[in-house]
Amino acid sequence: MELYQTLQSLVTSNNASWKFLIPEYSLLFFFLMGLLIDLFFKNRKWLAGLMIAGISFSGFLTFQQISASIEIQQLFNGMLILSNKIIVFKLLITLVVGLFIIFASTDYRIKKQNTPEYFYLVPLFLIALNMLCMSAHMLTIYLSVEMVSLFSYGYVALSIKDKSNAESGMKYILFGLLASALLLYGISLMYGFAGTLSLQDPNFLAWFAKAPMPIIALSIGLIMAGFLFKIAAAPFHFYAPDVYQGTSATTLILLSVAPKIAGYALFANFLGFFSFKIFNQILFWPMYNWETFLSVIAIMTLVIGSFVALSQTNIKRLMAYAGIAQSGFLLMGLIGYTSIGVIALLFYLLAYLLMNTAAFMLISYFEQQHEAYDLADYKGLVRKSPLASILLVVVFASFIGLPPLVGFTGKFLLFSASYQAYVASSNPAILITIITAAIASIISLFYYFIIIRNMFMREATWVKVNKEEQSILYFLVLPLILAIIYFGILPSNIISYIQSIIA
Amino acid sequence: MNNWLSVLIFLPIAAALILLLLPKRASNVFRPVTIVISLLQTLIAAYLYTQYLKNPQGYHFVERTDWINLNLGTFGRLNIDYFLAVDGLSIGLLLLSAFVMFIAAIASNEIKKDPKAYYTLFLLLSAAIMGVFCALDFFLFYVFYELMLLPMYFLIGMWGGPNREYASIKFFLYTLLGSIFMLLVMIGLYFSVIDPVTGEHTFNMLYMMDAANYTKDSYFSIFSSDALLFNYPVRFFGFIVLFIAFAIKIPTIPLHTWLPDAHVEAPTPVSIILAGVLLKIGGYGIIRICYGIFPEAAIYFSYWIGLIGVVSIIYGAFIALASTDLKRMIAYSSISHMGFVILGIASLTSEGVNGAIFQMISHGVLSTMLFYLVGIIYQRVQDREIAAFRGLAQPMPRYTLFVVIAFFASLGLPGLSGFIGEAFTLIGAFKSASVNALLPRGFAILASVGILIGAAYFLWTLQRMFFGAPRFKGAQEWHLKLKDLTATEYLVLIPLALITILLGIFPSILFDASNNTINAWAHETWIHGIANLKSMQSLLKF
Repeated sequence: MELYQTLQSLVTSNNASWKFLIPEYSLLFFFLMGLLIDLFFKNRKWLAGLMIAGISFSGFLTFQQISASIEIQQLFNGMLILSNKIIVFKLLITLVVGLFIIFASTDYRIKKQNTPEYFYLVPLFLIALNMLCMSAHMLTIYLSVEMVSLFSYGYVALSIKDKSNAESGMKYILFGLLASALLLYGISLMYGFAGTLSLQDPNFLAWFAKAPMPIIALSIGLIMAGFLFKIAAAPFHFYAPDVYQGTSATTLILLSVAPKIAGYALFANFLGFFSFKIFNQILFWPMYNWETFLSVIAIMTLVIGSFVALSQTNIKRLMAYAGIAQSGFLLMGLIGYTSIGVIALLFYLLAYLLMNTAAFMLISYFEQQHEAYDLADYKGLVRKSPLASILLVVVFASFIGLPPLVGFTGKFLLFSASYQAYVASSNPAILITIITAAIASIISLFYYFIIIRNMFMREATWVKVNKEEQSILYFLVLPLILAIIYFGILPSNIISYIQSIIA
Repeated sequence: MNNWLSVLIFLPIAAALILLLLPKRASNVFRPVTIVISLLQTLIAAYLYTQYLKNPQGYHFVERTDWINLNLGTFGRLNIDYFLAVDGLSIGLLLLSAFVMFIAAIASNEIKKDPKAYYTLFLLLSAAIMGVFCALDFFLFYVFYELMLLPMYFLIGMWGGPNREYASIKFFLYTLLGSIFMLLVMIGLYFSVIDPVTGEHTFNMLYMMDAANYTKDSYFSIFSSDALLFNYPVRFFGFIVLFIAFAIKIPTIPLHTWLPDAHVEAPTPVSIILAGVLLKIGGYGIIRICYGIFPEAAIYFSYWIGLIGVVSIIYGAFIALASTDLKRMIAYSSISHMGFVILGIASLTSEGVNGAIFQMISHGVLSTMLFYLVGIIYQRVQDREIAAFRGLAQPMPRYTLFVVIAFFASLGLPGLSGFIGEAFTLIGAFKSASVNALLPRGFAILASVGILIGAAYFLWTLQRMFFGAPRFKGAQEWHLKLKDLTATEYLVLIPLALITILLGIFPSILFDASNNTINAWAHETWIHGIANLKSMQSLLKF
């Protein structure tokens, strides 16, 4: 009888849960459409258009899911969760994916290589990313991490075919496998001692805290390794520069932003389940103070990212290390796990999305137009592509955090959140993180301005010009730049809106 | 109409946007448009100045609206105001800035490369400078302060001399180093200060200046009993960080090394802006922000600040004496002259601080004149080595006349503006020993030695370059090139020379505006500083 009731409640919960996955169904539908078109039609010109429509439609459906209450919806007996905060993460990811696919449809290199799967796999990738945001159970977490990784490997390999590319795809897979093995091992240890894989189980923390300290340390450490890999934070960042260098800048629009946002969504959810404050109280071991742990990770990430970026000669490697440093900034939003911290994190993710998307679009533009891959290739480019060069200056200024651009406002919020966390806990590690972040901002000026100096102040002996195509700058990059300026000067509306729906 | 300050700030931005939309072909309208805009700004600033003089106290032309206003739940509200106003401290500097920008726009005739980019950046810079002097909300101030960096970087880096890349990035790095840490202190202050009206945290500088507005347990509170860092009050560290940020800008020893590089590489109009306006932002920031917000730290460190001023005066003068490049010499003389500003501020006497403001404005006019004069011969023969010229007075007698005026005014000849500024700061420094015992008398004596060395390098340069029989490095070719002043050059130099003489004879033109504000300021800084220091010493026992 009891079993019957349990089963019944399971079924009811499942039945009630399906409707929350409508955006994902629509994506699945568009993926299948793409697959069929690929099979039966020779002319696939409008495939990209269809996918853009599909992504926008799913974005619209996701937006519709924003509910009046801030309550967390339990889906499929707590395997997945959905809340307005998660919807915001999902919307950010949908935005990146949409921008990516619009830009990719103009990339002549992708047209030439005739790989329609480049377009119709995008909806599936988006499903994986959405799942990662929603996971609340160690099983779903592991599955969606793997799904996202699988598509990431695929995109690295799909991007322009040459030797170095296969190498970076391989490196990515090997590092990814290692990270997922570590994650899996950490999960199994956790399961062994907590007796459940559900992070929302009321007994989970109590049981888990009874395990021997070294085991807890090992288990959390291994799980963190898997997460840090996803957000490219030190010390699990090694794959990023190689992968970036071997991949086309167009693909990097997708790969440098979308998995990172999903990774932060997962990280934020995970820390939420771990009942930040309670966990700090149960375990008095200093290492298990989340604030110290995250601060140390943030400091390492900031230092490694900024200092190594200084010595790069390839633009995509430089952007990879710069992205690692940016990860350090984003981690600052999670340190205190305060409400302002989450707002700051979401806002900086929006900022990061706008900046990074614009940056890689411009880098891809320079690749396509002038075959510029190394920093030296950027010399004198302002003479050939003045508009794109000026736009890149704005993006980099925003990355450095100069007002009145969105990067400054985001960093200001992150600094404020960390300062609040510091005041609340008086943990000196947080203060050191803040100072390190300030120094990292100054260093970032140096490496970003190597590129700007080359573009504006050095003369090129010879610049290759492939085609005079500027329209993409006007209808895609320029709006992003305007958004960077707009959200820098007037961030109130968007922050108030996010604030109103998540808290 | 009472939003004149906004007009002053946004007029150049609007003009910059219009220039951006104009086609590149229209290259001959960029400079006239810029000149007209900066002339308009100067006229507006002059009008505001005369209006201010009618009732020279308190804040005038106040504009205050919500800018960023966020409700962050448990965290409280994030309030950032668009808060502009001027008082006796800033109105003079505002007028100076507008005027210097006007002169710099006229002096930009040497710029031939990419005029569109140049004038757009020029106007953007102009807007940021106006904003810095008007903003009374710390966040807004910071935005304008940082907004100056990018245009300045490109103005030096794209139109500068051979070593411009190095000079421009050095300028950028130094300033950013100061300002990023300023941002951290700003955030700390924000979370410590409460708007007494609404009870929310605020960036309003005026509220930050009142000890009563700090929440009791905050890090920057005067009444906190545990706000210590390495056994010193957190407020002292806040003061030091802000002081370093502005000391880089002024600049003082030992944070000055970017300035000679930037000046030597920058084109003439950019040098004019740099010396005429940007250095003043450092002095303004110290008076308004460092001293205004942390009076007790200012009193506590006044000896060291005075010492930095004196060392800057003497060191700058000695290096100027040894310089072989005329522009580098003037750059170092700037460091020396700005040392008087620091000394005057450190004395915390009414004379000293009034003198400091006078000195800033006088130096703004004089350095504009000096750099323009250097630009004139550099434009003629592409050389400015002191040793390359001899007997310039013969081919260029009228030019020499203006050089003599500028040099004598700079070395402090009575009757010209430099004298008043230096004399008043020295009086302040002397008086300090007997009034508030902040600075020893020796400082004033050492600073007077600085004036002597100043006289030495100016007169020596005059003798080497301008007198005697003409003999140039470029021989006959240079004789032909070294023509006397053109009409444009007269247009720039005559008003500058007149202002120098006028300020020297009627210093009250400036003192009338600053006197009330500064007297009250010096008095309050002293009273509050002593009170804060006592309360902090009893609570923190440092």
